[in-house]
Amino acid sequence: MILYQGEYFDGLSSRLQPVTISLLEGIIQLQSDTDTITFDLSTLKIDPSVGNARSIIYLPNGGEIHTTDHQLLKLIEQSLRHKSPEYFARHLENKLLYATSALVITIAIVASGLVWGVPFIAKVSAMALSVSTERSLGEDTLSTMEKIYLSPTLLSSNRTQEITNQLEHFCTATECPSYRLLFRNSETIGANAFALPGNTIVITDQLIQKAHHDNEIIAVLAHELGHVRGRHTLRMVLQGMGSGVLLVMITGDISNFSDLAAGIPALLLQQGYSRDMEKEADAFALTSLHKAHIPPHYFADILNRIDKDANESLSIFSSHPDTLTRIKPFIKEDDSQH
Amino acid sequence: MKATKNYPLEFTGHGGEYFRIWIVNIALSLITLGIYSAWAKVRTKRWFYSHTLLDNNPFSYLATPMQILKGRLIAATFLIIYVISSNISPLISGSMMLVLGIASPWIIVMALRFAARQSAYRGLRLHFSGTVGEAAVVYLLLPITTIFTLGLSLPYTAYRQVRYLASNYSYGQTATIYTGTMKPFWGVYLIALALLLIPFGILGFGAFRAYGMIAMGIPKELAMASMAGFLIGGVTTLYLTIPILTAFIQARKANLFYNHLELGEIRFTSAQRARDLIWIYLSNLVLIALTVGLYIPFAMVRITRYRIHRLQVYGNNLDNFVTQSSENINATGSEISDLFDMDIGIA
Repeated sequence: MILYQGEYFDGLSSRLQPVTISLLEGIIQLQSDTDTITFDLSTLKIDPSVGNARSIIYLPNGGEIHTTDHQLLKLIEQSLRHKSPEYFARHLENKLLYATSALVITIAIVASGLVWGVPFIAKVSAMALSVSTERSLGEDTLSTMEKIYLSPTLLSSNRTQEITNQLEHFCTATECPSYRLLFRNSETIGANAFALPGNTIVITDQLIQKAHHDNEIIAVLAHELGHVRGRHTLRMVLQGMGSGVLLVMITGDISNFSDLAAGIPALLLQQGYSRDMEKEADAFALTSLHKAHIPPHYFADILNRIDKDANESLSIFSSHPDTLTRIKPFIKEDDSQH
Repeated sequence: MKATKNYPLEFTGHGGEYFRIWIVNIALSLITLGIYSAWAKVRTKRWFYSHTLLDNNPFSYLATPMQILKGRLIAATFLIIYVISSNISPLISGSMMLVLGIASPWIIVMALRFAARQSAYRGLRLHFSGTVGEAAVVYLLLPITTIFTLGLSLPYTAYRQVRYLASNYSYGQTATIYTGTMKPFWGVYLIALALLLIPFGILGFGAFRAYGMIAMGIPKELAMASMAGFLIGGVTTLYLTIPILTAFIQARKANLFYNHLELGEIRFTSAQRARDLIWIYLSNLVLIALTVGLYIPFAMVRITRYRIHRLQVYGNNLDNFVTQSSENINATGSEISDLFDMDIGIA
């Protein structure tokens, strides 16, 4: 019979009693200087061990056995083997290869979650989110932007009406989403147009002034209508939130200091999302221009012109993908028509 | 009786060992859509507890994953209802927030009780017996008062919070006593205030000088330009001061907690230093960023080891603690309070 060494605590006091432990047919025997106690092996409880940390054997009388003898712990664990996902986890932890695979799987899941999962969920929730919520979000954004960047348009009401009418006319030829067009002046933003959550498109006076032809303005607005149609701005907001939530979920149990670093990748990835959306909006613009019999090169023209000046002034909305690759389809389309 | 013996207190865990547990926890939690996180928490707690040895005996964490899961499911349900209702009716979500705010002292007490009861040493559990009423005072009423007194009552609030925790634990039947007074808390917050005066002093001096220059007839633009340097300097110092302040207050509060804590004849001394904490936090942050998060388990081990390393336990005999009945039997028994025997995730 093998004898093991351990320490017994009776659960009533903190007194440490050194004991000699032996395992007999389904029974565990603890022998101290003064006493011998026995317990049915099946009444013991032992938690699956974690790393090299010592396991504690819990006795039915509320007592505990502490031992550093791994063989004894292993024997008891085997005889009690109840089902716990922890055994599987421990299996993975014990082998560096498994732990590494777990790491790779984790990274793969997190990465695919960020690249596909979050955008997908954002897309679904953007479509499910009530229009009124989206609109109020858009109103909030607009009022913030009006405080900082935007001021009322300096264009004549004739001019703005002209553009509004042209866009309406354009929309009779293609399937536009419902929209609201706002004209604003902004020295800070410069020549630009953007879609806010809740169907609102804002176009700056600077952009209108930069256009050599009204069709160029319509082409840009067609692109923005593509964003409105896909509810892109809302999706961007949701994606930003989603990536944040996912990363916090993973790193959730760490202190605030590490959270700081966890937020950065979410921001970096944001760029990737908007690229896909730009492509989608471009595609919508291209088909729509085509349907409305507006030569697509107008889009390429104004984009080139803005791009040239963008180097001179700092643009805050510079998340657009490489202009050359973007305008290619618009020029090509045009060539084939002529 | 004077406490004579210094009991060795050590943390025997290593970052490399915890790394494997941590990474498997994350992988399984992700695959199971968060369900496994309850098991992950128990494994993590158990690893940290049983690597903490006092007089060569480990601490033990007794909570079961199901208790943790129960708490998390309730919290998740609450959150989902809140998010949905905030879209339907702000009245429902608003009143949910209000109920949560009012119930927060109770929730805090429940969490503290749970955390204590699941912690054991040498076969005896800890208990927390603080009342909900006092929790409401120290965690709700006093912090609100602090806002109205412009932070002047901050030392008092901090003192009451430390005293509330330090005087309401018991190990077996032996209750802790807190002998600390409010005076040292004044010291902590006065030093904190003095530190905070540096960035504001720079800002104030810059504004004062610019004002003087304008008064002397120097063009406004020039005066403003001279102000800009002080503005940048002041704001930068402020950003540097805040983490230093946080670490300083954290270290001093931990020390004040332990140094005036009595458990029977057991005494403690804690000697955490703000500069050590700042260094650990800062270097952890840099390493976590450089390793894309992989350093997190090492960082957690490092800070735990530091805190334990800085704590000393004195006494004559660790054998004399007792409890009335075998309380450990039926730990999650039939008491009504056990309905809420779960982790809420604050403590």
